Amino acid sequence: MQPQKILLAEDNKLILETIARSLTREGYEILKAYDGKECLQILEDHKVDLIITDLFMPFINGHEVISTLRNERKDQTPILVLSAGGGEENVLKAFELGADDFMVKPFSLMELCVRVRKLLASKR
Amino acid sequence: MLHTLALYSVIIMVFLPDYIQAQGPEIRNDSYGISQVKDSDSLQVSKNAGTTKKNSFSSDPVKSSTYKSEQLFQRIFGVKNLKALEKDLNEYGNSHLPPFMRRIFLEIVEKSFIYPIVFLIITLILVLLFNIISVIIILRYTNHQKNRRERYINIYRTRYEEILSGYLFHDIDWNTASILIKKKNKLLNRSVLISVLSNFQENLRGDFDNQIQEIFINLGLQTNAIKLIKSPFYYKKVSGIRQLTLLHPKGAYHFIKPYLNHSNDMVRAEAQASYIVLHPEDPFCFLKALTRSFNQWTQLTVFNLYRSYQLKVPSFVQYLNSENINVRNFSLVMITYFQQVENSPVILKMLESPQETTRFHCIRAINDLLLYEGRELIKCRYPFETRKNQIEIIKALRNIGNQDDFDFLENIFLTGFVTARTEACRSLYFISAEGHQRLIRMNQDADLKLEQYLAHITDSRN
Repeated sequence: MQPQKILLAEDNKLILETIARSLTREGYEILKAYDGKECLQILEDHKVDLIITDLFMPFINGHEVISTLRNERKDQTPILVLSAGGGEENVLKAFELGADDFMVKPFSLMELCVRVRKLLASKR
Repeated sequence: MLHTLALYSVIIMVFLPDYIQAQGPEIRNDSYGISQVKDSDSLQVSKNAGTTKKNSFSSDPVKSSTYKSEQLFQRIFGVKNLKALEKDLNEYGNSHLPPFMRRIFLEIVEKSFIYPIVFLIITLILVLLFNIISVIIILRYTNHQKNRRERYINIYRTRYEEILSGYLFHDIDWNTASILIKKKNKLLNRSVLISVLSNFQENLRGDFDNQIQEIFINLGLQTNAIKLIKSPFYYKKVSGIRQLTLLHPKGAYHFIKPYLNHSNDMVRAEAQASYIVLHPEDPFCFLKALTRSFNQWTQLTVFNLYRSYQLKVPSFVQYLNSENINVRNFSLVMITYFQQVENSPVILKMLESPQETTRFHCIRAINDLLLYEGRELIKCRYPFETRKNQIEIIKALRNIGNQDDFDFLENIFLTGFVTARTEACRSLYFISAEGHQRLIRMNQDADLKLEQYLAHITDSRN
């Protein structure tokens, strides 16, 4: 059985690698993007089961990524948003644009894995 | 730029002497008919207007050059001005400068009036060139050093991230990790390690929390943070407080407490914000200890932290007796925000405060918490209040007032200043329909331009 693919977009390399490591251990295949532009480029070539994206990234931010996927590409892949603490407005905007779930930093990796599992299950 | 300067200097050196030579006779026979000759120390002025006299200097090239440059000086500045300038400079040197500087100064003045202008220009250009070259060398060197340092930091950051990540995910044990962490005693490497750990701690929580704090202690990095706190520079203190709060919360309290009343605003604000995080059971207890100002930016930061961490709300009435005016005002704002109505007697007592801002927050609290028992009190205080507070009282009456207040508001509408009249009109209009009728009756008795007021207060933009 093919492992499920998750695209992870985060500009903080340390956090990106840590989340990737954690999710790889859970048995997922991880594609990494260091900014929004790279995230959209990867999505042109790959079909993924879940997108985890930070809101604040260079070139194209998380909101624009969600908006492009939902409105322009009509892509309904589940999106989990990672947001810095105290940014309720940004989270609400992400939901309006079509995000499925969010986590506020600092977050627990265990909780992230649970949410990922739940989102992937709901997709099925 | 260097090329341009070099080109200029060559032009000056090659063409200016020729130019001076070519202009020589004309310079000597200027429109005033004044010809000057410098012979060693004395300046001779010959008033032979219209004569082109070839003098003895033309045979000596050095003296001739000096003579020509002086002519140029004189043509530019005038003879009288030059003489006066030299005299003034000499007088200044003799009367104002200490003996050890006087001789040097007088020599410089003397030589400035002897040597040719071309020589001075070339010297200036050379000094300028030297300065430019020095700046370029210094910039290149510092840039090189900076890049080298950044490369070094990046290399070690990546290494430390991999090792610490391996340890946190239990791929390696602490002994192996400790061996793999090279150069951990070097100051720069220690700051890189702190930065990596801070990055983990700021973004991740849960199981990692304790492990990261253990790593911080095991590597003895708290000593670096404590050194930073004790540094005389405020930004290092701030950095130290932040590191200890984030990575060593258990031991941070004793180090941070003395900085709650630090003279520097930044340090104080950081210590106060840290206190909120370090004392989740009573996050605002530091307010009792504050003797210095608790500025508005820190109040906002503290409130934001409190909301982010979703901490327990204390009863802010305990801080209303504080001698610190900022603490009292902040407590009144918090009482209003958290709707702590049970504190109404204390709030009403605060109306007697000598501080205008405290009374302002108090009136606002009476308004927002709908403390009807404060209605008569604020009306009594109206004549003695500042304009800002008077407006706040009228606004409060809009929410807690009734028909008994119509006479009071009517009086303000007839006699008050423009803003007070507008607010009084608004309050009368919104208290009840009867208030609106009173306004119409008043307008019939005298032309009060009520339509304009009503148009303003009923406009949703206002």
